Amino acid sequence: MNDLNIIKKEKPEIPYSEDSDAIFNSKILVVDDSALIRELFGAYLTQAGYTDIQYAENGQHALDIIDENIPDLVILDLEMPIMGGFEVCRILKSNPETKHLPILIQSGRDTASDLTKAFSHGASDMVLKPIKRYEILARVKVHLENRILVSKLTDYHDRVASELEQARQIQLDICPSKHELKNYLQAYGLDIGWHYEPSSEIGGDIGGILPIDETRIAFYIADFSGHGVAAALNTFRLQTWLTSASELYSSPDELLTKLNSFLHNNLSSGSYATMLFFCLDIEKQELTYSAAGSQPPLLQGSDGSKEFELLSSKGMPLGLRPHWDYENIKFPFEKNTKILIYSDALVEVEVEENTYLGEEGLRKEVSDLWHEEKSTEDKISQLVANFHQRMDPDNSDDLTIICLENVNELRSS
Amino acid sequence: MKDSVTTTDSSLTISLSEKLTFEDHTNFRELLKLINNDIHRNCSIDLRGLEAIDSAGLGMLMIAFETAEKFGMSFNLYKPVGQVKRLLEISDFEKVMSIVS
Repeated sequence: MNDLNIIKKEKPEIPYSEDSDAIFNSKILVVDDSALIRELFGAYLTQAGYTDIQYAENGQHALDIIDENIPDLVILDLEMPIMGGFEVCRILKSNPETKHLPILIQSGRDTASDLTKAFSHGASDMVLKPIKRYEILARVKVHLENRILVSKLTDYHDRVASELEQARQIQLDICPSKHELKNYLQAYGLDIGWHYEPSSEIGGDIGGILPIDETRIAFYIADFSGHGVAAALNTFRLQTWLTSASELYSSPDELLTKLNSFLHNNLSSGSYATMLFFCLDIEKQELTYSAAGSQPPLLQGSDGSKEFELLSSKGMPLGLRPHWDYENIKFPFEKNTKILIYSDALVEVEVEENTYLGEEGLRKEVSDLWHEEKSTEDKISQLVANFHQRMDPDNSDDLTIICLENVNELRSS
Repeated sequence: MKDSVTTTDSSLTISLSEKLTFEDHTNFRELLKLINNDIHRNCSIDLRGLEAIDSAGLGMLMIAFETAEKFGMSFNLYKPVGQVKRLLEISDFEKVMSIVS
């Protein structure tokens, strides 16, 4: 074994890059029962510029070291006393902490079944004895580079996931809480059911309730074109604008006209929002709304025995044209009248091959469901369950459902 | 989205088929370059073969219209069907541009 004699000092083999320091400072654990082989590996690695090398003389010794501090790469012999390499592989791969740890097997066993067994036990790579210096250094480098790259990607993923989760929470906070919905029932005699779920962490749907005074309350639903972060940022933009436009809550047409100009000035070309904005006057028992190309709302009048009907939602989506005049539509909203508003995802699902639920399908479904003796919350849960059964998981969209019923006898009691 | 383009001396016809969605954004930008010139006086987007459109697709049709408008071209959407027709109706597009049914 005169390999040691041919080792001579030379510059590190890895050209400098921003990862070079990370590669040379990586922890490498060499596991072999032969002191000479351990020394050989150590010499190769040290000469190449690696600075943090540990040694173990059998499998159990290796596991003890890994328990204390997980290395970045294990160079592992197969045949050792006390515990062999296959068992080390199995234990490391079964532990979530170490299952991604790269294992480079070095062995004199070179039959097909040996190779198969090594990889099936979780080895990342295998080099055959006699060990060739350039081969081992090249493979060590590849696995450490992969490890650093994966670590960077994982860190990036974790950071983005954490930020998106915070954004998701902020978006969910815009939706009224159960406590707030209960307050609206007491203050306005309105039984309100609400469901919101973004297709990814955050979405382009938004809805809200905006009390005006003791007898009037506004509510809305909006859906920005596109999905994901850009659409979600626009929902915050909309919410901010609405907060500063409270004087318009009782005039849905004016509100949409002004919001359209704002969005046209601020959204990128071709981006827009569909929206329905409602103002409910409890005293007059009258609902006024204005539409900007949203899904047609479903209304059931005070005679609960009749089916729901589809209302008009025609209107230019907000932000597409520089100036647009929107119109108000008014209708009575007496005791027992219910209105259901929803985003397009709810109807754009297949009920059978190439047949979509559509507004008419939803109208029938809601008419049947609302005849049942269930709470509004349970009925909405049923609609959501139906949606999940039908939706294509590869093509999901944000979903919002809001149902509002005038139950004003509760108010007077 | 699949597209085909036919031209005469004064007219440009862009026929779209399958689905017009967010993924077609880049291809649609290329088609806009055809409108974005002084050669033709009329532009028609043939939608007979277009099966579905999403919100981004609707925005692209508005951009096509605005591009034609900027160059003083006449513009129409030709025979939309199904979900495409319904979405154009609900969005009041016929108040802005000609839709041939």
